[in-house]
Amino acid sequence: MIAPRRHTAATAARWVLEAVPILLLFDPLRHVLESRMLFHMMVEFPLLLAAGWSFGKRLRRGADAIDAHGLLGITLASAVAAFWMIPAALDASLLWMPVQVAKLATWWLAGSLLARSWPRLSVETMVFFLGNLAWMVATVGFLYESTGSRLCVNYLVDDQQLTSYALVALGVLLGSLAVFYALQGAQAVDLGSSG
Amino acid sequence: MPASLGATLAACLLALAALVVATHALTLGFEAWTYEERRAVDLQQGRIAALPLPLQSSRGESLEPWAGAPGLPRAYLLDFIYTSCPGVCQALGSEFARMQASLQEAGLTSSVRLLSVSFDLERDHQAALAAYARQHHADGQTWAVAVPRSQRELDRLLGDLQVVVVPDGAGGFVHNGAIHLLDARGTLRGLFAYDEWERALAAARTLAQAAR
Repeated sequence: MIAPRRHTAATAARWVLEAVPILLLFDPLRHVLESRMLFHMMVEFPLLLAAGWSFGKRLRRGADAIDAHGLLGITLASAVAAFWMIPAALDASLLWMPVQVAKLATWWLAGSLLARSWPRLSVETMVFFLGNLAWMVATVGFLYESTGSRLCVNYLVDDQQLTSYALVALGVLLGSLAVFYALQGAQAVDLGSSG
Repeated sequence: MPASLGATLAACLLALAALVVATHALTLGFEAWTYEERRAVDLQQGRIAALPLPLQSSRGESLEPWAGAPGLPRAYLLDFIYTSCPGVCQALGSEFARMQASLQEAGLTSSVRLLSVSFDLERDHQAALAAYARQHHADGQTWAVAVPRSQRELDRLLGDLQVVVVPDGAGGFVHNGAIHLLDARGTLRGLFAYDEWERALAAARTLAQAAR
């Protein structure tokens, strides 16, 4: 199942990354990443996805049998992202350990599936999901921004404001990425038809 | 083994169904998207209650509110404070002073109790509480200023009432919930913002009368 190791330094870095979900059960790292909403959403979530991704890349087969065209990986990743942007979900993960475990597990699982789904996604599917995600992230950002009161009992209003700007920026980034892939896809079609 | 499109679609549907089920559970049927909204639903269904706990008052007395003993007040208006708070707590102090005056005027001092509970165990010893009570004219009877005896008991009280206190980064604290209305058994019956103190007082009087 697991590919042979090559470089010890890279392997060590990979092991650290892949240990992130376990480390996030305990205080030092958990406090650093979760004491602020900005880090929680913009650093911890991508890190968890990357930890899963790193693991998934080493798998020879993964869930390929039920992941035609990479559809399952991208669907799961979108669902996981949507759920953990709900303010009540953020608070719940901070207050109840089972929810924290569910958060770590679902992001990790989404990452490990996505690693194998990504190369198999068609341009159309990629653009569709990226576009959707961009729209969703930006909308949540605007919602966070327009609410004057605290949406999470664990976070301060200033932090929420900052996070809202970051979410809108991320939405723009994902949207740009969707456009980039769409153009690339169109170019590939052009080259194919002319050559 | 080649990927099956049918199995893939089934798995995708399962993932989406899981999202819907989890969201439905979290938001109590797509109603409550924040912790505070969930708390409001829990309150409405009578699911929030504080267990009785001993408190040390600013006068050095031991209080055990909502213990269900005869002769105890039938309604409590409770707020959480820390005496070193400069801003909104001072304003709230004045609302509590007005509620105290109103209760004294109506002769209801034995049926409705005002209670300011500190969550700052490190700094709010008896002297600090007494200074706070003096500054805001809390008489110690109708309006008692008190603190739990241990961090464990404080955490239990905050947990029972679903109050979350977070440091504000400037040496102070921020927390959800303002004025809590509790009945004689510690069940949360109402939540009011700082500027709704008149409604909070009216609700407490109604509750005390109903329990008579």
